[in-house]
Amino acid sequence: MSLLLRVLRVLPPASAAQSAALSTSTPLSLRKIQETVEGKTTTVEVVDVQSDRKQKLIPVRDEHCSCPLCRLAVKVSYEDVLILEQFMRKDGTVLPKQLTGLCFGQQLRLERCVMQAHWCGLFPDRTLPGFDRTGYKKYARYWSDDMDMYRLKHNVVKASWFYVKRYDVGKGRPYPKIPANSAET
Amino acid sequence: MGMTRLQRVQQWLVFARQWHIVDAQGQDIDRLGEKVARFLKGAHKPIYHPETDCGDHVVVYNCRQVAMKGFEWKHREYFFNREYPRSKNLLSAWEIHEFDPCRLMFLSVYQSLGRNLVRRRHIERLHLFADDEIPPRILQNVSNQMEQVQSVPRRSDQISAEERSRFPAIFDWKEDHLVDWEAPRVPPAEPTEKKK
Repeated sequence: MSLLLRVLRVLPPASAAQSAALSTSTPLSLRKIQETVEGKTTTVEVVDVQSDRKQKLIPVRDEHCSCPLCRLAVKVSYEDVLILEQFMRKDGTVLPKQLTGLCFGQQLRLERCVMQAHWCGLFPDRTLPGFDRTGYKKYARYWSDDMDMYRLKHNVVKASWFYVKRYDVGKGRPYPKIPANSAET
Repeated sequence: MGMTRLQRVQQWLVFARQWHIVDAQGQDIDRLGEKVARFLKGAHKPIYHPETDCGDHVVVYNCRQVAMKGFEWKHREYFFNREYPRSKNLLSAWEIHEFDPCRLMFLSVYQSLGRNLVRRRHIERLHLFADDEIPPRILQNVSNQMEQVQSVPRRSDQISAEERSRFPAIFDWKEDHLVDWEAPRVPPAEPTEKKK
């Protein structure tokens, strides 16, 4: 009796009513909304499509957390562009954890890493059009950890006015001591 | 113990004035400054002594693309004081960098050389360039490319489609996943104010 109960519990409720056949594995199917126009009639239907990730998927290990980043033996950082972009939409925003299956902590970590990558300009083709790159944001930066954005520190450095400037560094700069592009061979 | 040919050339190079070159793109300004200062002093040579004039020339290019950690461009400020009236000035790092892209690299190296009398002689052997255009009279002397202090992450458009296809998938979609859910979300239109 208990075995029968377990079998019944394994079966999904919808398919239990429809098909009496027992199956050990449920078929994985993605769906897609398709619009086809034939003459005057427009058909909107949900079509099954194949996942392009199925062939190269990393096998699941039985761990205490089954989320995709917990079972990966890598601590994801902002430099792992190829990992981050699997969890992103086309416009650079992060997919919700209901779709990707991440746990709470890993989802927050991932969002921090994606934000750091955006700030470093690692996704130039996936950035929102209004992304701010003015002022100090246009210069290169790096991160040593995903929590670095919260470790803010204002520091004042004692600078020296002494400066040896021998080369012309830009347009209109009054330092023509040695012109930059003079070729002496 | 006789010298091999390679060791003899190395011996000549130690006593010669070498020229090193390093790309500053994506490098931490402090760590690169310390490394450059080491080479300017000649501290990487076995014959080094603070009173020995054994320093090398260092050419640093792409100074405009030098990196700082996190929000340091905004939160680091440089205090200039010549101890004359009205000569104090407090400038944030990115403002100095915007005016002169070589100035911060110079400051970093100059501070790493330490407070001593010979650092003005050492810093004269530093050649800074904002971009990758180096005049040939500088480039013809260069004999060594220095190793960078950190690796530069690749942008997503620098990765080829072939490499991307070889990379494993971290997860697969759940059952009955609708592909249209991955599409970019259209933000709701901002509410227009009603005319009174």
